[in-house]
Amino acid sequence: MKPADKPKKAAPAGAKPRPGKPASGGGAGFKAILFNLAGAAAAGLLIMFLFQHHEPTSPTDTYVNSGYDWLLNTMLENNLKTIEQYPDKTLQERYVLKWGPGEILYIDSVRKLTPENAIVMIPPHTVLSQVGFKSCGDLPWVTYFLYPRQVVYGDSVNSPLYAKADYVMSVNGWGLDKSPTPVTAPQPFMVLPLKK
Amino acid sequence: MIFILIFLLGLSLLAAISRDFKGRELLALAMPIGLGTTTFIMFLLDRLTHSITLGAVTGAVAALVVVFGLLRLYSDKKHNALPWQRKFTRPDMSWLTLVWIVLAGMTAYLAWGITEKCLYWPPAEFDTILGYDLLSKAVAHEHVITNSMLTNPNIVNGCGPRMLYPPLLTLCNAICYMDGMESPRLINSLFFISWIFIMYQLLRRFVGSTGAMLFTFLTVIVPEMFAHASFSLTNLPCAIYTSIAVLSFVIWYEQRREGFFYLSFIAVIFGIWTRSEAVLFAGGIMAVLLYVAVRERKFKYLLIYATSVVPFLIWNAFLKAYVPRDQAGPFIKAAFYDPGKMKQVISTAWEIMGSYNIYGLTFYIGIAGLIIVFALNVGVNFSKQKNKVLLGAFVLWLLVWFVAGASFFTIGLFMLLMLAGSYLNDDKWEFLLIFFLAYGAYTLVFYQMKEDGTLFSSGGWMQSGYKRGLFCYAPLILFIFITSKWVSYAFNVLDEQMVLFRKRTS
Repeated sequence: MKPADKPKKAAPAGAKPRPGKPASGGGAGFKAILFNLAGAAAAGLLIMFLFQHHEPTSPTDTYVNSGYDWLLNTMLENNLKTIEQYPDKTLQERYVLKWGPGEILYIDSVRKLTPENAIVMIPPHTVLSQVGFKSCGDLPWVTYFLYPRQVVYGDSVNSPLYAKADYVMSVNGWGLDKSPTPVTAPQPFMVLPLKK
Repeated sequence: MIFILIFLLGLSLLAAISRDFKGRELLALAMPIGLGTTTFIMFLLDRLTHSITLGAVTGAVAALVVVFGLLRLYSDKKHNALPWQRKFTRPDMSWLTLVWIVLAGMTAYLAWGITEKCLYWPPAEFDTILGYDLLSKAVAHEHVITNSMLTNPNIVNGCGPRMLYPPLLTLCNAICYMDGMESPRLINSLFFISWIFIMYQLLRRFVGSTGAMLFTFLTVIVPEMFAHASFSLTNLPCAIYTSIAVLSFVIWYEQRREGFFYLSFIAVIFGIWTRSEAVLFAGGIMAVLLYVAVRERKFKYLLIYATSVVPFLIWNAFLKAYVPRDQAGPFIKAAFYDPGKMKQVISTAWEIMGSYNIYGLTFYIGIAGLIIVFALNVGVNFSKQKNKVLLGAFVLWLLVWFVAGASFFTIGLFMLLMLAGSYLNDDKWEFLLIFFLAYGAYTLVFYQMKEDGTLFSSGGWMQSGYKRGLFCYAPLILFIFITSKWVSYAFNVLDEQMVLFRKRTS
């Protein structure tokens, strides 16, 4: 049969009364209630089977329902607990809550201490890795958190932004010498203006 | 305000396209269709005025809502069915069963939980930060797509291909930033919540309420996809659009309701506008349309659908014109046959699909479903010669499988057998063809990639990209099973036994 010849199939609109059966609009029969109870019990059992929690005895342990167990009893439950515990955290605080108090705290300080149109010089990759900064070595990562500020690395001397930088992020003494005025009380982390 | 207008845009656009959609289908589909349409408006604003501002977007969306609304009213008038002329019909509750309540309750709880999570945490995914969301911030701040991020070679090369994905999610996120939000996570929640209703509503075109709810529930709980409902990534929106495209197309093919053809067309365009790989579904659907064109001498649908790849071409031309890139592509440009690599691709693919942690039981149910449907198609009409031949071919295939194991050849034969079973017994063969063509091509894309240590490694192309790309296929393999005429019949019979509130006939 050609597809064009296909009769339009009526869209299923739920269970329809069979011919000869009462379609009164009245309530359910005993049989229907029984089927519903049995069906609901089966659905409940399915849900219990899928989301049954197993305590893994080793990291490689997997069960048939591992993924479903994880999504409800680990991922969702833990997240909902955290949300309940810290409902009023700011966006920046939520990053710290998620990633821990690492680079994001320093980058947030740079954001707070510089205007939106600033060009910020951050230490070269070698310095960043010495102090254990991993993500800051990715220009798009650091730009994401500082945008609309522009970012240039301290060793990108050929970049047109290098000469135009307004601020420097000083880490472990790197960048102190770039400040136009002598730094009287150096700190391990500072944001210094590069123009007087 | 803007999101209410976007919702109304989707609603009015669909209502203007066709009178085939039910009210609840319109409500479910409105947000993803509205968001997709708004991103095209934003792209046009960028190209025409070089200024994507919240005011301009709001104005354009509002104007289109009025235009589409008037178009629908005109159509209603022509059909003598203006809203105030329609007769009130009593709500039909015959679909409501206790099973439905249990499954819908659990689905609602999970949807609430993941939405809470999604809206609480800021975007923290690597691909988001080093990609589309960085671009979103720049679009919102600089009001152009060709902004200081997309035209900066250091940023573009640092982000890799992530920043170069088609702009649907980027532009959706930019709406949030333009509207003053700190995080664009609302977009993901809007997509996911809509999707739950869409799946259920579209499945109801084939099956009763219990079957549709059960398979909606099984799709919602696919572990990796459920986790992504709280991530700001492109994979889930792309899967949502492609599953709408394929399901609507099957509704059109089976029931010839014109509106669903255009819904499929729009959805596949938005899928391609989210991730280019959605073009594989356009290819699969066009293969079916080619069959329709040849058999019925009707080329209209094929020609219309062929234009769905235009956004793919536009975006690539746009990137070529404006974006400085120095990346070599990850693909091998010449055709080759390497059985060792093919075997590794297939075994890695199954490792991902069969992992209980990643896809749960989804692909097990899907593959078992294919075999059950094949067995039912062959078994119920076994007296027919064609089904005896099919059974013989299946037995032969089993022998080959036991001897040769999983290979391109044996899996290809399996697909052909399943397809033949559904075609010869008229059981939604078009659904299987689209699925197999798109899935086969998708897997072969990874075979065609360079093996430079990043293809099979942990976090590499297959373990990361292929895994997430399967989001488009996981729901579809479940839907193939539930929409089969035998399975939907079985669920309809079950529903009949559970009717609590009979439909009023007068």
